[in-house]
This record gives sequence, structure tokens and C-alpha cells, in this order.
Amino acid sequence: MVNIILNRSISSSSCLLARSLKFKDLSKIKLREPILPTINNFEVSPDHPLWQFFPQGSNTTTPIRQSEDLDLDSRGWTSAELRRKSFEDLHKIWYLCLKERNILAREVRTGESIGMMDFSRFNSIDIKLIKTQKRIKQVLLERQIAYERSQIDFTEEKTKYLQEFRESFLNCEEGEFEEQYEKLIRLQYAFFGIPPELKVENLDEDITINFINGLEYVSNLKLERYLKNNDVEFEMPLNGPMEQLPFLLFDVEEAINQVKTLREEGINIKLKKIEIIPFLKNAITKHIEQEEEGETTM
Amino acid sequence: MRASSVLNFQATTSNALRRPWKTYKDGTLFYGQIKSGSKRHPITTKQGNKHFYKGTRSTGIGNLDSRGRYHINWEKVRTYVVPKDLNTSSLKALVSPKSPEFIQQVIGYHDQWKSPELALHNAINFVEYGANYSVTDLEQDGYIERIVHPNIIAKENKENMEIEEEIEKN
Repeated sequence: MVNIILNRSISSSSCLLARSLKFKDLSKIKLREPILPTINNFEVSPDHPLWQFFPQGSNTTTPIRQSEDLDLDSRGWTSAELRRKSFEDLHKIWYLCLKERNILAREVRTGESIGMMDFSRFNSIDIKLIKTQKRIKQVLLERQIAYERSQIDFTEEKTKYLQEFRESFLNCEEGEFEEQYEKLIRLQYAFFGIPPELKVENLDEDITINFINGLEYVSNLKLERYLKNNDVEFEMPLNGPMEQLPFLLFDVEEAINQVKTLREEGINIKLKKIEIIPFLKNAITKHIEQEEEGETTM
Repeated sequence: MRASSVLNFQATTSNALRRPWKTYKDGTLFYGQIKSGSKRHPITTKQGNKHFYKGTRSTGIGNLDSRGRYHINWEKVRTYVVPKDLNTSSLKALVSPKSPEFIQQVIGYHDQWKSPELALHNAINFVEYGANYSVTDLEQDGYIERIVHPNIIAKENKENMEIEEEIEKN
């Protein structure tokens, strides 16, 4: 029953449609030229990110490079060359390889769809790039292993060197002081992971137990040197990271004043172990933000 | 007794490595009936039982709420950290065939580049001489970069001194 009704309704409506579909005089209708589906009919911005899949970006003329255009003579980076590069450079080389491999892969896939058979030239370049990437990984692994081992082994030699440096820093002449101070900044970076310029976004990774040890070493060193050469009344030792931090962020004179005010106000509490890292993060972010504000108002 | 509880009594490294050949009390192997063939490979999505979930790290980046909306947890979304000045850097993906290859030799350090002693000496050199402590003229050195332990250098110097002294005496 339902079917019949449906059928009727459909058939009646289709009849109505059929009646309304009447063409007027066809000769009066103007037709425009057909639009051919070519690349010239598309407007693509030259900054489009997908241009990075093409060898010359938006200036590329052919979908697949001829073998004369391919750089077949160049070789991949050797491990020896990569070992002399910094982490930043390795990062860049990795991504350059990746981009180049993306271009090659795109060309090979396009070639496959056309029915090209021989991709040995593309593959020979790809193999060089893969090898470079594997070597980068290998070099990073070597550095990681050496770093991890150095945290456990040779601690005696490390403390011995730190002691030697301490003596040379305390006993150096006024003229040598600038040089020694530069060395101290390099030392706190190399041995304790305290970067020369602290950044808010890196603080989570930077502040570790090693950082806290470095803070203790550096602050005491700076203070002792200052007290030795200047006649200032100051009570040693420093009471934990709360009093040590000013010596990392400010000049020694200002740091001493800050610590004195802290002591007068009686807020130089010795922090619990669990409180140290959050305290340092807060204090350093505040300091950096204040400095930035100061710069903008200047 | 379950398989894992048997192993808990003897969780040493060597036992863990010999695991496929370990048997239960009744003589059956811990996993698989076949002794031969390589089978210590990472399992794929098609293996394991109904509780085994191995995604492609492309889904499960958020959660649905009661109204059926999906909230993405951006901590779970993968990111690619691309160096800022990638397009302006002078580095290339491949090296020119004209640039000469060179050899590196690490002498006097155990386990070569992975040596913690070398890492320490590098750190000390960095502190003492700045970031360019290892810059050498490769062309002059015959395209060999030698990293020699200070003890060995001292020993060689001593020997050279002795030889010179002998020559002077004669």
C-alpha cells in the first residue's frame, strides 16, 4: 500500500518536473569557451608550503628532473665531518636531507604514475641522504653515551679540575680577571649546564640537580673572590639557593646588597629539597620578565 | 602458574636473554613451540591478543566529552621542531665532490668517541680556550685529525727530550 502511494507521488512529481523542463530557443543561449584543466588556470601563491616538495620551489618548470639536472656527483656527509658540527648544525643538516628526500620521493611517485621504470639515479641520491641521516644519529648516540658515562666516571678528575679552577680564579691578578670571568661562564655551561643566557622556555630542561650544584659552586666562588679583594662585612656561608641565586643573576655588589636585605627582612629561609626547583623556576622567570620589561621601557 | 610469575623468581639478564629456550616444569617452552627461527622481533598490530593495542601514534590525541565533541590534547599531538634559519643557512644536504675527505684518529682513549675521559678533556679545553678549541688546519695535517690523550703527548715529548739529550752528549 505504502509503495503504491510512494510510486504515485514520485511519478506525479516527475511528470510535473518533465512538464516544467522546456527549453527555450536554443540558438539564443550563449556558450562561453570551455575552461581547460591546465596548471595555468590555477593561481598558487609562491609561498605555498607545498612548493617545498619541488627542487626550485615555485620556479620549478618540470614535474620530474632529467638526469642531467640531478646532482649525482656530490657525496653524503661523512661521520668525521659530522662529528665536527654543532648540535644546531646537525639539526639543520637532518632537515635539509629530509626536504631533499621528500622532493625525490615526490618525483619517484609521479614517475610511477606515468609509467617510468628506471629510478636508479633518484635512488642513488636517496641512499646518500639516508646514510647521512643514519650517521647523524650515530654521532648523536656517541655524544649521548659519552655524556652519560661522564656523569658516572671520572668524577674525581672533574672535582680536581674544579678545585684547580677555583684556586686560579681566586688568586688571579686584576688584569686577568676578565679572562677568568669568561672562563667561569664557559665552565658553568660545560660542567653544570647553566647556559650563558637563560630563557624562560628552556628553564624546565635547564634546572636540574646539576644546575643547583653549579649555582652553589659559582656563587661561592664569586663571593669569595669579592670578599678577598674588598673590605666588606659579610657573613659566610650562603644559606641555600635563595641566597645563592642573586650571584648568578646580578653583579656581586648588588647581589651582596640583596642578600643583606633578605637577611634583614628575615625571609632567607633554608628551602626544603623539594622546594628548590620550583623556587628557582619562579625566581628566574620573574627576573627575565622584569629585564624584558626594562628593555621595552628603555 | 602463569608464565610471568615463573620468571619473577629468576629475573637476571642472562636468563631474560635465554628466555625462549627456558621451559616450564612440564617441559613446554616459554613461548612458541619451535626452538629455531628468529622470533625476537617487535610485534605488529596484527599480533597479540585482544588487549594488545599498538597505534601509529596518529590517533588518540584527545578525548570525547559527554556532548560528543572532541577535545584535542595538544601535549599529545606530535610536533616537528624545524630549525629557524633552515632556508638561509649555507649548509647543504650533500657535500661537494671537490671537498676532500679526512680521517679522524682517537689515540689513547678507551672506546674512542664514546669515552667519558675524552668528553671531560673536551669540556676542560672548551673552558680554557673557548668554543674554537679544536680548530685545526686539515690541509697541513694531511687530512688526518688526531685526537691524542695528553698522557701520550707528554710521554712522546719526554722520549724526544731524552733522545735530544743523548745526541747532545755524543
